[in-house]
Amino acid sequence: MKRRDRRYTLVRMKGKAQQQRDLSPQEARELGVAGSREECPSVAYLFEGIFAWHRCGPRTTRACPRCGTTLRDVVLHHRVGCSGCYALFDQAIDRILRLHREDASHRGRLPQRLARYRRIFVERERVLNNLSLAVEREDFESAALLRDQLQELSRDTPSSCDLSDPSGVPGSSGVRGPSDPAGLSDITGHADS
Amino acid sequence: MLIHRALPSRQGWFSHDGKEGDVVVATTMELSRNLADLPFNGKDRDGPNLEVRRRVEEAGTALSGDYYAIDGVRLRPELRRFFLARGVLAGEGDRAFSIVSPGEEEMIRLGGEDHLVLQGTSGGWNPGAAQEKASRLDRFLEERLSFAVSLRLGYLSPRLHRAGTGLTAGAVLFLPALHQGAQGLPRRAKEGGLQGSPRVMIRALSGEEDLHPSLYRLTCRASFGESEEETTAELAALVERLVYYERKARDLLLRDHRQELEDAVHRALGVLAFARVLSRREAMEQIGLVRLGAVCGLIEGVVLREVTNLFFAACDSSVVVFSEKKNENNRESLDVPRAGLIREMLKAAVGQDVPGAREDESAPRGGTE
Repeated sequence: MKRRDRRYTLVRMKGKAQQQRDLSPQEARELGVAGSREECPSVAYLFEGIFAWHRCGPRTTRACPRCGTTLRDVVLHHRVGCSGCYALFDQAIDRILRLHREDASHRGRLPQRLARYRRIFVERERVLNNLSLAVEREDFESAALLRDQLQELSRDTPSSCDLSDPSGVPGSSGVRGPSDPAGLSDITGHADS
Repeated sequence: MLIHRALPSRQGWFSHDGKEGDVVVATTMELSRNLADLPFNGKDRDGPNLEVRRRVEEAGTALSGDYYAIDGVRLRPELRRFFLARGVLAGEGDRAFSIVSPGEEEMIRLGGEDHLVLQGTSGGWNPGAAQEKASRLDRFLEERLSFAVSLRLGYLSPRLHRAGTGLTAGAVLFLPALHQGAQGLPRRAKEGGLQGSPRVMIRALSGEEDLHPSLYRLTCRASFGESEEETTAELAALVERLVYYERKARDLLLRDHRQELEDAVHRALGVLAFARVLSRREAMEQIGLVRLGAVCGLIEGVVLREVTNLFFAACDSSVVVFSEKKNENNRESLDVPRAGLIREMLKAAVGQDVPGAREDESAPRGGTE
């Protein structure tokens, strides 16, 4: 990069380690370090840009095939273009949501046809985690209680054919199996008119 | 059943009685929902919005009872302004579309940031009833439409932090005593529009134009990870405090300035009952005083909801619709029909003819589409 083109230098420091990167105005704009109005980039925007660079790294060009939203849009503006973006940028979204609330999970109502799946895939996972923590701590009293809870939740597990189509309606994208307890990509749909 | 006809009415979502009605005009619960297989609303995404409207309209035909479909595109400009001012329509152009129950207590609104907003309203302070109405619409539509929803994140939204319940709990408050005195309510709310954090906001209630400066809308948006009960409880705590302080301020006002207040209230009643020319600003001021007098017990036999209706009837858009006066450019020309409309509606509010308030030929007629 020619010296006259170098307008921004990004320095990241962690302890004694230091990482430096020179950016042209174009690169700075793409990474969100510089605002669209170059003469007055806001401090808030600058910091957002730094975090964006940190998070996006080499994946900045990734875009949603359905709506064209990029990871940069998600990280900088906290906006998505379609429900598919939630599945595509799940890690970034998870990090953003955890910045504001550590236990980032939905606690309100869900459509009736999905409510019992949350019980299985989300609550079961939570109980399992707590159980393993209790066993590690050798807190066997709590572990016994959690085991009972787990058994109760397991009794509600639907058959495998239910898992493929929770609503029983053609066109449903279904709920993901126990391998994806987070259920980030379970953007459901049914009965499209 | 869905009736494709927009009939402007003098009553609306604000015309229902309820608990704490002297301070809380209405409680609103809004649920934001998006469809799974369509892009979310953006600045230049008009195409999918038409598809959303088609699907919602189709689902709406199965609603039990009569519901009105209000289509922003097909409405005459003055009618569109009328429904926008009341908050029945949201957005502009082909985005504005609503399905409304006859009393405007249940609404499905299209055209905002989210694909659709389901609103339940109840008179006074009654979050349970409002929530039930919104949930009823939600349960009905979730059987017919595919909402974008995740097990862990809840209902999905274009804004990440709005994912979750999608609930916005709100209340419309009438706070004249707090507004007048230095009792702690931010006076600048009516100027700047917003006060407080983006989550909890108090702002002047306004449609296309400002209503009475003592009418406020307090809203509490659910953030991610928060349940419906938590959001409602937060709003309830705020409303409870505002109701307490407003009543306390009214008591102080009555104790220290009873005569002046009584005089102002009765003068206001006189102006509304007899004036032949009323500007919007003056009308709003006098209606506010009459409502304050009614809730303080200074005027006997006044139907409170009818006085509340006057706030909305005195707006330019309402006067144009109810007087069938098309030339809204000349605001002065609306002052005569406004006075007539208020005189006519005041009869219903006080439950009898105000002596001497005889109608003349300029009195407006009820409007139709």
